[in-house]
Amino acid sequence: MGIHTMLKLSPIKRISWMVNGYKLFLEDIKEVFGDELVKGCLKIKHVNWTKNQDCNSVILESSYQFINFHIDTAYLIVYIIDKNSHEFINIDELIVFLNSEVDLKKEKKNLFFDPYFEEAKMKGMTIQEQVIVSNKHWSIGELNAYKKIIDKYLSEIIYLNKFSWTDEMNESGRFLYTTKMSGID
Amino acid sequence: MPADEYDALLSKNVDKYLGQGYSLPEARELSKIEGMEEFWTDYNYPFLEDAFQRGDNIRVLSNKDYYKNASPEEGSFFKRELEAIEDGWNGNQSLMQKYGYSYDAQTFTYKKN
Repeated sequence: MGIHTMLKLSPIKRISWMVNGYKLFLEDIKEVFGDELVKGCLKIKHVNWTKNQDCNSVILESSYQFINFHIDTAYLIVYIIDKNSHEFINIDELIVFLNSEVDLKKEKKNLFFDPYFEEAKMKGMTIQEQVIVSNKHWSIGELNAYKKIIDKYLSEIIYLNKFSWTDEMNESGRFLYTTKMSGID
Repeated sequence: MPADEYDALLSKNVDKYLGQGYSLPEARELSKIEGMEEFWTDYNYPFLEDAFQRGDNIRVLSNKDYYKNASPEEGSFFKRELEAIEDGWNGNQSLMQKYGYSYDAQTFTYKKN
């Protein structure tokens, strides 16, 4: 029998560090959620760095929930994790579960805002220069969209604990997984 | 491929789509899809098949049922890898069948029969 192969260590995971994290990811999150962090409604609970010193995961904490921002193969993935039960779900799925009429993909696209890219355009930089600037802040456009979407659809859950999303989902028959990820204990 | 070369490829693709008049999020999305397909075809799938050809044990590190049912964005390449192993990718025979593997749920490992 041959050696063990670990599925989550396939080549793309090892060769494309930038899109599985980037240097300024934490700074971008601090910029986007600056008001909440200053007011104390959110705190930085955990930050994960790759071997190349890129940041690929940040967990924010409110009084009631964790929000995990994670970059995987160039995609920004956001989970909400209930602090009591550690049940978790992709935040997009939760929003659509609670608001079935929402076209979330369209809303995310409309709310996408990359201030560094816009500034580069304003300064008359070439497309190549604009891309170089915006790639350094790979997820900030999506993070800005998520900030507005979270405020609009999930603020009562995250900041006020007005109702339990886990109860609602469990009552609907939806099975929820429980996470044991590091950084939330 | 070194990370800086991959970044250059990614930038080139974003450039290309921005130059065609797409917005930044659209250009990013298209370049991600293009880049992922290229890397899946050129690197990931051959890597996985090589492991099966060698008879490696394939240990699953995350909840495979969760990721197999996740959206393509959330499941990412892990979802694809699971599909390639169990169901076959893009018309190819499943790697389990092709190389005579079965899944051991006790140890979360695909093993050669």
